[in-house]
Amino acid sequence: MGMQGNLRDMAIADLIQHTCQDRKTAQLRVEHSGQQAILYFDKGNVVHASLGDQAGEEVIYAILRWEEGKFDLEGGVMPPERTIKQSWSGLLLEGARRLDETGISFFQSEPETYLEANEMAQKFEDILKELGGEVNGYLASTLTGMDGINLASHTKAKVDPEAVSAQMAMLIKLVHTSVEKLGAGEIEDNLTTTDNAYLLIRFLPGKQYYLGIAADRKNGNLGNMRLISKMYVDRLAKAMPR
Amino acid sequence: MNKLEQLIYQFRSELGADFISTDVVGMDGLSIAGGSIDPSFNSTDASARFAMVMKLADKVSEKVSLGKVDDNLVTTDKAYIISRFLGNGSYYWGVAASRNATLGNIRMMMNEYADQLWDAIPR
Amino acid sequence: MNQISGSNQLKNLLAQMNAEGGFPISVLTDSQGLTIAWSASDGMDPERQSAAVAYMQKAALQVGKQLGMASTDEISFVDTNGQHLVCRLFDVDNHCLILAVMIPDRDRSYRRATNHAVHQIHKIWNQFWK
Repeated sequence: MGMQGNLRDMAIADLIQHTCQDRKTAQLRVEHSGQQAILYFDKGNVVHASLGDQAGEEVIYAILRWEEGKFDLEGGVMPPERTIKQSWSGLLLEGARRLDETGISFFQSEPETYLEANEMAQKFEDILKELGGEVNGYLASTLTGMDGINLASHTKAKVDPEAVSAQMAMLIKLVHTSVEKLGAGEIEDNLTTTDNAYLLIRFLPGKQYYLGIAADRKNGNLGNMRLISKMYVDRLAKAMPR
Repeated sequence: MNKLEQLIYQFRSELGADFISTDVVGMDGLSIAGGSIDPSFNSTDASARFAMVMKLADKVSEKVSLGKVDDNLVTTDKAYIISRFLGNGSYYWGVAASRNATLGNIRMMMNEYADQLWDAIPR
Repeated sequence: MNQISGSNQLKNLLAQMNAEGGFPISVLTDSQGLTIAWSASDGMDPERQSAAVAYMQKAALQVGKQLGMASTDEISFVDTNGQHLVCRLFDVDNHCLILAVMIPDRDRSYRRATNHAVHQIHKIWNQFWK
């Protein structure tokens, strides 16, 4: 896998998001005004970034401002070291907060400090953990923006919450568009039954975020999932910053 | 009336006043039987759109290792829209019903009719 | 599941009621026929029971209206073998719920058990979800 291009056509945030959502191992070189940043992805996580003498998360935050320049994405390149532990969605979240122009719309009002962002994510996770205790056959849950970026997740099973978030966002967007075009009303929830599981997606008020819940089919109940999701969507909405 | 249309008619009658629309649809989005009694609900459009929804739902489920999709149920403030794969997944069956309908009951009925509908599809 | 969750409490309540009353299956269902909680012996189908009782509840509502009766408290469905399905209808926090219990024979008492269960459901709901 290889891709070259210009940052005018594809923003760094998008490159990071797509590479991570596709769970790639890759190297991304970005050139801008004589500087070169190199990012390394390992199975869908950003694990290292360097820019001159700098390394780590701060490189990401610095280069997210670059709007002009060239990029070269090469697959299969292993990272020489690991200087980043933050999840890719966390990096983009903090990066968006630091940018003057928010290319990624996230909080309704931006938190004052990085610490507040972390506290908010923790609050959401605590609510999801509690929700997990109430859902029969619970596997995982996620609070996600309609851009597919995961705000918080909680999982009991071997489920990748960021992959699930991105996939569920695509599905609910398509369902929402379909329902809208058909004039079939305002969507409340979408429930998918598979061989092994129930997957429920419910919008938070305002439809900028959704709550996704997965439950094991054998032990889960649709009525229980819907009821609990209704209750917890209200709690999550109340926990959003004003 | 062929067997497929008979079964659809039977199902419609069981659903009664809550029925809005039903279609048996190929995964190309084209309906092979069914229709809508509500002129404001475009069942041709719905068939095509929900074929895409079912394809995506199946892809999503596979990517997150949750198995093959059986059905997808959308609840809106006006209606229930239920889509269920038939047989080997080369067709799906879509039903739209008013919010007055008993959802669990529709799901059960669809489970019961699904095999018969699959057998009745001309192949 | 969290031992002290509302959902777990409901499940335990139904299991206890079944054990004490000798009932093969009981379900707590929403008005849409979707199961909120259940307890059942092997071979019983709680999803099917939930769907059926919600359907019955809807029919009962219509009948009650037509006859000018007050809101329905209980529906019984009895077969020729004496097995009966008892449905208790009640509201909790603006949610219309149905507790449906299969009673294996005509002579078995159930009213006290279902009264107690409905009362406990209210308590659990208020404790965990209000």
